[in-house]
Amino acid sequence: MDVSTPMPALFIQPHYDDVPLSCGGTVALMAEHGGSPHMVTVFAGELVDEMVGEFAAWKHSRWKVSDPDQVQAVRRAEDAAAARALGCDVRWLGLPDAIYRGDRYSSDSELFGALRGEELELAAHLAEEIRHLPEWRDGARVFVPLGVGAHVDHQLVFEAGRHLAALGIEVYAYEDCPYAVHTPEGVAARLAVLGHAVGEPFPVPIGAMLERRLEAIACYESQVPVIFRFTTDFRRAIADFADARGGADGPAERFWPVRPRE
Amino acid sequence: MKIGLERIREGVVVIGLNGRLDAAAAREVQECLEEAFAGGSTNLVVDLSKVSFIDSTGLGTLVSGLKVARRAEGDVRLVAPNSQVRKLLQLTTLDRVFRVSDSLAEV
Repeated sequence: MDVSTPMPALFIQPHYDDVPLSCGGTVALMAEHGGSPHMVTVFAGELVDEMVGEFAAWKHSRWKVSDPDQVQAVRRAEDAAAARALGCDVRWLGLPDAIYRGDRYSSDSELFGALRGEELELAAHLAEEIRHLPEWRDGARVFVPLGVGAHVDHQLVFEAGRHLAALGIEVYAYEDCPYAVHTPEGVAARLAVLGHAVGEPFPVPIGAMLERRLEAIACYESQVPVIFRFTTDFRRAIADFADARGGADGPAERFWPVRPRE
Repeated sequence: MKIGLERIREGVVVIGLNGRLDAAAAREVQECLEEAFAGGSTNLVVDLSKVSFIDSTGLGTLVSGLKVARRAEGDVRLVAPNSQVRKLLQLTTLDRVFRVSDSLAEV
């Protein structure tokens, strides 16, 4: 994948922060080369009371969320700041997070388990929605999460990527961080599930854009202590991970070509 | 998107939408909902009979309107959604949130 040729690109993230965390260096690199990358946050819908069921309420208490509107305002401000740090913009879609989609997922094991059948239809809808966004351009490349960690929202966006690939669109999967950082075996586990759904991985050297990625991640002030609770130095954790991905070529981010559903 | 706004009785406004309710049209619809609330209406009826397609941004606009209405002890009802709209409401489970009617006569 040539990132030095200016081309339109949509980086689809299930939740606020996934793209900067996982492949922010590549976004910044494309912007530096005069491309027009855009971030799209999928599960950014507003909440009304009926959407907060028993499981979601339990999650809220664990996350110490007493005012979801205030949380959303903070998360959006952080997302916008991160996008600016990478040199792109961000669009927020209106789909509800998995924990707010009725009682489809009512425990952590379900939330990080198999995607429910009806959700494949939602993935097909999402693919159509992406193709009709104001930011869409012919020849656009689309980036979706590989789904490391198996969060159902990440799986759903990956499936949307497969729908787009079936239309002849160039789709790549990025390596979900921090899942891949703190649980490296999760990558192999996810690849075993995916089988031939993805091609061979390749690294994109990001060089000095690693700093931009770190700067963007730091914008998520409310999330960094939670996301990186496994380390006291998130910059070192991400830098070491990127260095390991690039080897002698310096820091890199890894991608897989996404294949269409057969 | 074409938008019509008609007050049918005290505090109740029908908003008629015509076209695609998607990311490109969402802001215009949002402004219309805000105008209705600003005019003192707390119960909105959104006539979707001429909406050919809705996406999640469009749905989000309706959810946003519902939140404002609820704070004023009002409601946002959806009328005559086509099969695509009904399907997306079901897939997002927002069919449990909105009251949906088949025709304006039921409102």
